[in-house]
Amino acid sequence: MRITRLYWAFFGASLLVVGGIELAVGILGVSRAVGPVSIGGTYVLWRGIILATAGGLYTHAVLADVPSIRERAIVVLASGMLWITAGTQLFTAVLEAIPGGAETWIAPPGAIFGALAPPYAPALIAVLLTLPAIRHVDGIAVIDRLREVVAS
Amino acid sequence: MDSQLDPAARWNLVDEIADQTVEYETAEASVADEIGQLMVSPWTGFPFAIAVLYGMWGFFGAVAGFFTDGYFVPLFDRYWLPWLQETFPLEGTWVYFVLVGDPAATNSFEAFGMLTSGLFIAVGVVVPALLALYFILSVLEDSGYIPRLAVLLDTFFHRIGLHGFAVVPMVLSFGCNVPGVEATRSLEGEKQRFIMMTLLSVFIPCGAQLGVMLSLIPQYTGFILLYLIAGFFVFGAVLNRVVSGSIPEFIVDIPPLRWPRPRPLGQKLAMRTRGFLTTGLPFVLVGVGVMNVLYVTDLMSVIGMAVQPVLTGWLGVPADTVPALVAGFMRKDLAVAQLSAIALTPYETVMSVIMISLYFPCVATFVMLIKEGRNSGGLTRVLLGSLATLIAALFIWGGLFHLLGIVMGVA
Repeated sequence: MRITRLYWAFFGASLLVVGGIELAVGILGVSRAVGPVSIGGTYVLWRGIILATAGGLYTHAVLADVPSIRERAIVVLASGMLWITAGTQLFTAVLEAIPGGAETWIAPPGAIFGALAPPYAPALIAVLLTLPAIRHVDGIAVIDRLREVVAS
Repeated sequence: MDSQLDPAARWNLVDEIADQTVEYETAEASVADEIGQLMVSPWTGFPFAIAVLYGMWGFFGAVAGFFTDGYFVPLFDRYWLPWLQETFPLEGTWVYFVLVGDPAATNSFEAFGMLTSGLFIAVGVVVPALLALYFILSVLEDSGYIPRLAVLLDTFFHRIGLHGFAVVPMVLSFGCNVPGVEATRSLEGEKQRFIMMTLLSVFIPCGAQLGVMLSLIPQYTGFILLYLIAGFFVFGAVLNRVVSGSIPEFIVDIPPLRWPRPRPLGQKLAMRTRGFLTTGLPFVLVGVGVMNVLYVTDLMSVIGMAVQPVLTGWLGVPADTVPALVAGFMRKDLAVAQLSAIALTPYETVMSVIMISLYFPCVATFVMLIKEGRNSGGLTRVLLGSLATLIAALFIWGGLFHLLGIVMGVA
């Protein structure tokens, strides 16, 4: 349980920092790429708000003494916000790559898959890090259900 | 059973039957129940709503861009327009101009004909936008999120005489004003529908316009949007006081959250799309035809000359922006794009974009206003009311921005 809460806290704090950077990038109107991570582009300000608030919700969930159903729900909700953001970016990248331009109607598969190559927006990387958190929430739900069955 | 029971005795009987047949027990809320609660709680509901709206606009932009820019633009510009220009008879006559437009045009937007620009806007621009918006709206409805969003935003909308469900046409309008105006029919009462239709057509920029703004003037887009949304609520509050009529109370049954099922989703999408194709599409085509008649009779340039003193004097923008305004009758996104070709100061750029947003809805929205206005208090009332609002918005809200510019020393 302690490791889980440490993970939520670390993840939440990271999201707050990265969201803050995206906000700053959006306000200043610049874009930055560091390794496989790229910060910038259209709607970066909104992505920054979403990432930072998701980080805030994760951190809030950690503050409860014993994670109740409400805290678990907050973790799922915050993860959902990241899934929506990342899913939208991935979907947009693929749809933009499909029309083949002036000569062909549909681009070759290589060009379409090429749209999925790095650099990635922070939300796309954060989505992978939500999986352990979601798995934990799901795990607790399964344990609760087993307890109910045993008790009955 | 005695059918002559008075109401009190009948309720007692109901209570007796319920006591004998219904069992009550307490149940602990599940994670899904809690998520549903969090969506209507302001501290968690608003951040989630921002994420949902981001996803909605992102999905809309991707799908509309995929069909319009990826396929309809090349289809119309490379095949349909040249074929029509070559084969259509009566070149040089007004019939040719109204139906095909400029014989030397190289793209369907600039041709300005009913069968070129009209068909392109209706089929190539509006239909993909509608498909994307109707799909995402159906997903949100079937998942149970829309009622929660309505509850979350009800307090804000109540201040301008609307209730929480007004968020649906508003959100749709940020994609395209046409389905937004059409969706006002879901609101109760003529007053609500009139206020919402008017505010949408005056203050809410469509997704295409927002996209062009974000690509050409990203540093000012957020500010312009905030100014327009502030105008939406200020003029909404005024209209709520001025317009007669009552607003029904907002009572909504919030369904549980669930995964949308493909079959009902498809049926809803097909029904809404069919509805637009059969009733809305002809209106858009006729609207483009009327615009062409205005061009043929030179009335459009008369309008341009008439508004020029207002633009330069009251709003402080150069006369060069008049052609962009005229283009804005057809598509506001391209009107904004035209501004990028004119040398403007930052103030003039922001003021011009605000002006393009406020001064008149695009032709597709205008004809939808006519269509829906007939069922929302009468066509005359809606058109005159909307016209009065947009003139007031242009002079007061636009003038206020000019005043701010003068005070700050940038105008």
